[in-house]
Amino acid sequence: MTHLDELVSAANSLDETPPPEAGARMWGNVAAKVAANVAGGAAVGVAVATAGANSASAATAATSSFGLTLAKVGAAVALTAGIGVGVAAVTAEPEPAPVESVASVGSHSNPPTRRGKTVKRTAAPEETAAEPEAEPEPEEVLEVLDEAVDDEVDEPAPKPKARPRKRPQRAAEPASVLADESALLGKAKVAVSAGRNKDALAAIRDHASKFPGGELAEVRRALEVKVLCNLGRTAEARKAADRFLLRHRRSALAGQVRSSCAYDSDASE
Amino acid sequence: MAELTLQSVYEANWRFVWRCVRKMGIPDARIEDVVQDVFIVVNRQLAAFEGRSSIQTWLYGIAFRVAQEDHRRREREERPALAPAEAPARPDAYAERAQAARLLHELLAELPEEQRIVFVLAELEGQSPKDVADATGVGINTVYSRLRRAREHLGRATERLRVRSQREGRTRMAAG
Repeated sequence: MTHLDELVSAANSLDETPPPEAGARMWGNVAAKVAANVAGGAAVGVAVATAGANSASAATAATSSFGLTLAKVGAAVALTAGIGVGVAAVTAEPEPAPVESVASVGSHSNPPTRRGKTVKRTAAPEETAAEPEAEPEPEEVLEVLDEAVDDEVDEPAPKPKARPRKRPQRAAEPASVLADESALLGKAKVAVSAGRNKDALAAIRDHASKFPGGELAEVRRALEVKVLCNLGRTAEARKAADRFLLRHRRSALAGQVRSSCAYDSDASE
Repeated sequence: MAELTLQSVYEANWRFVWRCVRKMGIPDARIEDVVQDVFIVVNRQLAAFEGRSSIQTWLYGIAFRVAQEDHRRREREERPALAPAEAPARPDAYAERAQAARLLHELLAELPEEQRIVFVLAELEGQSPKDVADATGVGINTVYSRLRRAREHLGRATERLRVRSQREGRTRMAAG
């Protein structure tokens, strides 16, 4: 056996199948990063071009059940982006592109019937462009979240129908856990935007007890800071912010947490 | 070709990319990050994918570059250079295999791209020459000749490395 053969066989002996939950986990992160790039304004042009092309072809997309659950991952992405965009939108130039692409990313996996609302909203992007500072969270993002929440209400148990045709052995659970997580946080987000901060906090706590180390825990922790600030509970907000920064110092949401009420000078007492 | 979306590409290929990345010697703790980065690039470049090669060939090319970048970054952060003689003092079998995979990946980087993909699909992915020909869009004879050249090149490279690490080993023993 040559040395080369040894190397090849060593590399091949590493061949194992990936953990089944890795698929959904990584997809959640990829989708979040794609949305975050868009929200942060980095590579907006490219992302929009790509997302645009994708969503055009997605209109005819077959709706696999994986797609269904991923539609909700899309909502989770919008959620992540929504919080990030809140900060970005204030400083960034008021161009409609970020919103459009967030919506497109979210709608990739939506069946045509569900896309109606999103598409309609993106058809009039000037709404946000006109007043980027008035509303820290773009309405379109909230629309996507509304849909996600509606979906959850309409279809409390999507899993049975959600068996993929071609890959019956695929683990559907992780994706649907993510969907549940995003629905719960979506509820919190909608409540925040409606000024129902206590309801939002309840949903956040609910998420924390059901998914303590969930995929969207980072989003939850950031949202918690914001809600506690809204409620004027600065001491708790401070603790929540410390918890967040301890775990997610490099998060895209860290800036938002740092500039929250939690670290206002008079909150340190 | 069916319409390509990031999601459809991901769904159909994440396992393939995961395996490739693993065989490129990326440590366990980094595999998922690297795979994710691959699909971030895929998202950026999807519109430009022309279908001249199979999607797997294209994905492999992206994965290769992302993994290389990751290797380099870790090298900068962790230690100055990769040398086979720097194996850990108590090498367990897994770490040894991962190191071998990493070394192979370094050597593959020396190959021309068209030889590299043929070698990887045939030797590491275990695809038949016919499948490799389909995936790369060349004739089967070309597959055989590229594979042969790749093996010759890699054989020389590994031999060179082996000699060098032996010599270094001797030098070290003499010095110690």
